Amino acid sequence: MSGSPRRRLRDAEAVSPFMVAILGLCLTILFVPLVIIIFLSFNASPYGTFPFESTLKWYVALFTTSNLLGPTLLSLEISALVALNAALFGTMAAVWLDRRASRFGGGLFRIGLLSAITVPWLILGLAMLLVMNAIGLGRSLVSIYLGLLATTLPYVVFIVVARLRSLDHDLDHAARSLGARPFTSFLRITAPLLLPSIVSGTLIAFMVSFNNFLIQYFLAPFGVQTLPLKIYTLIRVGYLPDLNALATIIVLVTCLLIAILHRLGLRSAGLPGGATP
Amino acid sequence: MTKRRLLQGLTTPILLLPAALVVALMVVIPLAVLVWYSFAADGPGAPLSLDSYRRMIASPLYGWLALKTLWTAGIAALITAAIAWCPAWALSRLPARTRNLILLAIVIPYLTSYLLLIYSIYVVLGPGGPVMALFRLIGLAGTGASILYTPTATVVMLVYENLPLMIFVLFSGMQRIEGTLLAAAGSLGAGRWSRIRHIVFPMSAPALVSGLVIVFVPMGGAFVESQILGGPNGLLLGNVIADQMTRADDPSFGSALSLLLLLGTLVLIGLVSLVGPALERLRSDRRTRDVRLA
Amino acid sequence: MNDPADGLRIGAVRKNFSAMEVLRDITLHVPQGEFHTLLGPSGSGKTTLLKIVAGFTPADGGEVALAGRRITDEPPEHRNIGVVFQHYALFPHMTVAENIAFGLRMRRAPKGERLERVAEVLRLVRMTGYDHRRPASLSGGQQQRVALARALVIRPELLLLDEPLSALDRKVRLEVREELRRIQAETGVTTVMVTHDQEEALSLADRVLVLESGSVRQQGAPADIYRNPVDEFVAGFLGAINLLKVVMDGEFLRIGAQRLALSTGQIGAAPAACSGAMHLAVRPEQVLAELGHCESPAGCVNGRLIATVFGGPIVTLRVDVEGQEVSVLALSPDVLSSDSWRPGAPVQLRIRQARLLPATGLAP
Repeated sequence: MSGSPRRRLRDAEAVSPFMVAILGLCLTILFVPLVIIIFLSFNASPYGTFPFESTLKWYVALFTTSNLLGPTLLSLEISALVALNAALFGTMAAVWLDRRASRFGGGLFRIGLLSAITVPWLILGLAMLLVMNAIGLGRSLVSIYLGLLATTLPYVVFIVVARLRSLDHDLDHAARSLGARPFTSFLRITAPLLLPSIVSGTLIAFMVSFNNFLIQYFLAPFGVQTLPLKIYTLIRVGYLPDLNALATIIVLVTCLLIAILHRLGLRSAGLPGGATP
Repeated sequence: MTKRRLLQGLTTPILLLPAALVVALMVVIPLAVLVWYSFAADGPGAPLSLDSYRRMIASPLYGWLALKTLWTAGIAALITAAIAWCPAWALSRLPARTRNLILLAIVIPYLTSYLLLIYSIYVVLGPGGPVMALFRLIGLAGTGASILYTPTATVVMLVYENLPLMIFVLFSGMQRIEGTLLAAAGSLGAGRWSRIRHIVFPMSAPALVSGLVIVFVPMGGAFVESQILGGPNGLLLGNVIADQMTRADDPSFGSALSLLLLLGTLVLIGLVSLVGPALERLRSDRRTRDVRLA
Repeated sequence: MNDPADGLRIGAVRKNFSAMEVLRDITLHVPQGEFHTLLGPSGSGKTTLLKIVAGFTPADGGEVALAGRRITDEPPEHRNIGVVFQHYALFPHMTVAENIAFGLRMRRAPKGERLERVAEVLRLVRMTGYDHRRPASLSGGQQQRVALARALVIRPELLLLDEPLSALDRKVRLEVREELRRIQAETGVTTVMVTHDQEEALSLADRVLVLESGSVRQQGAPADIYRNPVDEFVAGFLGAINLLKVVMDGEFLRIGAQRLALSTGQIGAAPAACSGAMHLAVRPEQVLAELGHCESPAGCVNGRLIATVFGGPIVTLRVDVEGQEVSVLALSPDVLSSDSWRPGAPVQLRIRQARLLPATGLAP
């Protein structure tokens, strides 16, 4: 009898088995489609039919005969370029926003960045195409680069600014009082401490840029196909065993990148969970 | 001294310049041009006119399409929230290690290309896929039937791709609810259900509202989902907008429709964020009345 | 090396944040080798003053000079001032040795000299052997020692301490406080510490400056301003004090219906403005409480015990004097040994030392 009120208190803080069961169900729903694709990528049938007969031929096909390889490489190249530039420009802008910006200028810049990720990319992509047409760039690789840069910059800026905000400004003061000039202080003290968040921002920018179908849809030159565009044209054809293989590889790479992000402190990447550095 | 000032004066614009140029050229100017184009039915050089808007109003099709789009997005957002609520709550109460692991797992579909997700849903929902097999098994569907190429498939896809995001938003709101609060309520005699109803739900309501808004906006702009999965009856405003730019080559009309979609989205968000406080006021009025009666 | 008259000189320094006046015409002088404390509540402008001296914030007017050199417009890296921050501000990605060597690196000291001076200063703060530890693996007290070592290794002309003890636990705080006193005495570095803790200020400093709303209220030796506060704010900020409403009545002070006579030795010089409402400021330890009634009004008033509050070695007596409550400190054995100290008992209060202050109602 004496233990019962205390147990009831502990129960009140605990979560009910019912809720945990729903969590499990929800996770299953989330992963069933991906797991099925991974499973089918090892199935010999070109139409996804059973019985299951294990094979690696779709992976071989992917790197030899498949027409998916070219678009994948193009997407990787564009995204790498965009992510690296977004990291550089985004970090610079983040430093400006945290240390130099006036309230008005900073607010204005923030609104611009927020619009880049809140206005549906269908509308933003369309609007970008209007401007690119008007200034003569039209659908081109430069346009794609600029469009993807605009939609990835906000992630880098917000991630790095969050880290800058959490840095003690006295660290900079301490370095200055010990004889470091402003730039030296930034290089020796601030930059090393920002590095994890800059890397996180770069990875997120890479993934966003790689997956951003709508911007690519409106700005890609005719005939040039990035991976999302290629999938878009192929998907109506139906079942694609080599796409299963590619999807499996992409999901695995995503897992790897997420593991890296986790090591860097996922929270600093603006995503929930993960250890804070 | 002055040299230092000069240097500082120079670094400020250099830091900002590249990012500001990109944002101006690819976000601010395009959105302004979008508004301008919507009034330039006869091409960008000609005098401004309301022709595109007149055309939009003249046919009931577009208003109806806008309503259907907002309705689809709204329903999908509500379903997403309903599915995500319990898992998010369970997640916020789990021990840190398990919780982080599950959160990491949920990030995977969130960061996977949604065209791949669409493709996988396409495979799963297809007539030969497991979902239809299950439905046939329990007698809900006939042979060869599928919800693929129906508006339902669009909703399923919208829910699926936004579920992780909704769980994150709800989770981060619920995580702030201290366990001691629940223990306090428990010690005052509140059972499991009343603790959820009187403490967890009201305290996580702001997260719920922001979660709804965050998933609703991109859902309203959905285009590929309905194009691929929605079938002939599943077209949404996004499809028509995209068509104006690609096939019909009528950017003015496309811009006007985009603004219609943006405006509709904003109005609905405004209503949602008004409803919350209004309900709260109503409830507190009732509560004070109850107290007075007692 | 320097003229002891030099040290730190601050002349008429002003600072505004938008419309708010944070510092108005602060003038002070810290002679070479002395330890001064800026004491004030939060918002008094003491940290802003420290930042102006260190060069982190520009002043809106006035002069700062160090060792006879005007440094008002110098950037922090040219000032040669060591700063210890409230939250240590150790560089988390560097080891203890790297943290301390940072200032020497910036001065391009050769490696041999760096190692030697780091070892020397680690000995000074008694942290030898911690060279290769990371700040995160140290306790708060240890981190603050390293921060102190880092500030001292550059042989600064001035050491600034910004609330250096406030982030520490009480026990560690006392320990680090003693260390600070020892190290300052050993190095002889001119030191200015900012704090809101009066005990810290009184126990460490050669001289205390009390700041309030951006101006200096009083400065002097700790014991001096504790005993002779110029106003109610300083009196109250330096420690618990009773403020009794009194009226001047010729030779006597009138408290309600009672008369009280205090000698000049006990009360010092009465303030110039003797007219108007006055407060008799009495510290709780300057009153001797005994059971019974006064025999004469010379330094004695009657009261009635309200309650006794046990506090370990001492007991606080709450006594009602003519409707005003007075706190009195007594040693526990004196009070607890007898049953007569119960609420309602008549008590005579012998006042040893007191001050007359104009009643301003500004007590904190």
